[in-house]
Amino acid sequence: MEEAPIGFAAGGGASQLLAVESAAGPDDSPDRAHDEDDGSSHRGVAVLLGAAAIAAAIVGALAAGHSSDAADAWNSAVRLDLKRATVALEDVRYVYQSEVPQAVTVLRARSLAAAYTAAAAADPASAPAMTIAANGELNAAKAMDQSVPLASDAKYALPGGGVDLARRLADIRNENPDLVAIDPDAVQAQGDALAAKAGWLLLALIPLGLCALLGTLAQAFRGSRTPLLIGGSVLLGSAVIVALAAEILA
Amino acid sequence: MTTPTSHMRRRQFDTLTTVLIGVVALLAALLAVLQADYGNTSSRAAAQAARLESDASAKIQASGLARDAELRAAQDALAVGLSGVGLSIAALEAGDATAQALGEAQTDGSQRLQAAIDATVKTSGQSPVDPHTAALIKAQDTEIAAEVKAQGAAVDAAADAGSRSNRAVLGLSLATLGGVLAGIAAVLRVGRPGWLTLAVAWALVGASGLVAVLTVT
Repeated sequence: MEEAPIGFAAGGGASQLLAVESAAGPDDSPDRAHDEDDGSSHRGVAVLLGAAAIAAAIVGALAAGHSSDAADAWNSAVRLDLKRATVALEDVRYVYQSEVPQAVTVLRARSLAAAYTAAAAADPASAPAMTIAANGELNAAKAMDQSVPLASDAKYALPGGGVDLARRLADIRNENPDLVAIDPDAVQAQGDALAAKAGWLLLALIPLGLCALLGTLAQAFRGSRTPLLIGGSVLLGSAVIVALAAEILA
Repeated sequence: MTTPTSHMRRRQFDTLTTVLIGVVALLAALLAVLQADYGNTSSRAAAQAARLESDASAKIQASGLARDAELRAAQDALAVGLSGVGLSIAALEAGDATAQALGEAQTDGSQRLQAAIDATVKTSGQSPVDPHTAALIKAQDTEIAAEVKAQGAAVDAAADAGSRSNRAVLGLSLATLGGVLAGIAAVLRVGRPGWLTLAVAWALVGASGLVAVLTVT
């Protein structure tokens, strides 16, 4: 008898196979004898295709899971990036928009007080007026700097009379160290690694597809069945090795 | 009764059906790889574009805040100096030596203030500020423009990979349909409906292969 196609055998089950065999009639008796000799290779084709299908399903499921995790990681990186930028901006806004103008007002008063004091020392005739002006500026500076840590805290004072913006901003930022430690790049790198693992896993689908092709060819071309089955088995084995390596090493 | 001709036809039919199923399996595997790969590429590029957009926006705001603060401080110093010069001129005209000295002291105070502001500005965005915040503060317009350009490229890459991924899905659908028709052809067996179904199945699988080629080119 002639061979039934894979789809027919798989879809119809044993009863259909038997029906096909009985319909073939006595004219096909040499083929029947050949088929009986070939029974094990039929099973070999079925086992190979079944194993390839199971392996493809497992590989596909694993790869889909890793791809999904990778996408989650990338989306998390976006969320973390937004969060990091938002809190950083808020700190920058606080220092540069709230504290710096007040600190500059204090610096202005101190600079003028220093200039008046220097002028008083240089010109005794105008010293009384200079001293009054200097004291006025100093009092103004003292009144204001109590509410401006940037201007009042000695650790932010620079030798030239300015203030250390970087140190102040760093202190503000470090009040929430967990927010400073946000690292979206690391999360994105995790996503990249998962995507790479999914990619390696998916590569195993190529030999599995070839394995399925060889399996069906083995069913169609009886004369070359054994080498085709061996080739399919080798491809199946290589696919499993690739998948395992990707899952364990990647 | 089976004639040799019909036997040969049935054999050809079964061979074509069986080979078609194998080709479908191989094509499906290839297209699944392409779909997943382009899908991941698209997701990654879209996420990167969103991050670049957020980063560029934050840089524009942070560097703008820093520049505004610097300019306002410089204006304050200039205003003190102008006030001093004005007072000196007025005092000179009025012959008031004390007022003139006060004006000159204010001008000196302006220079002292400007020096203090210069020293302050030099610390902006420097250590010990964390690198990310420092990069936001110190961002230059050219750098932001380059980032916006990179963001556009990432959006384009996401769109391109997304359309390729969709094309792979189309190919997979065609291959699946071809596989289903191959199964139906196997059930119908040799005969006009069977051959017709098998021919359509091969055509669909061929179209699927064409779509696979178009996906990667």
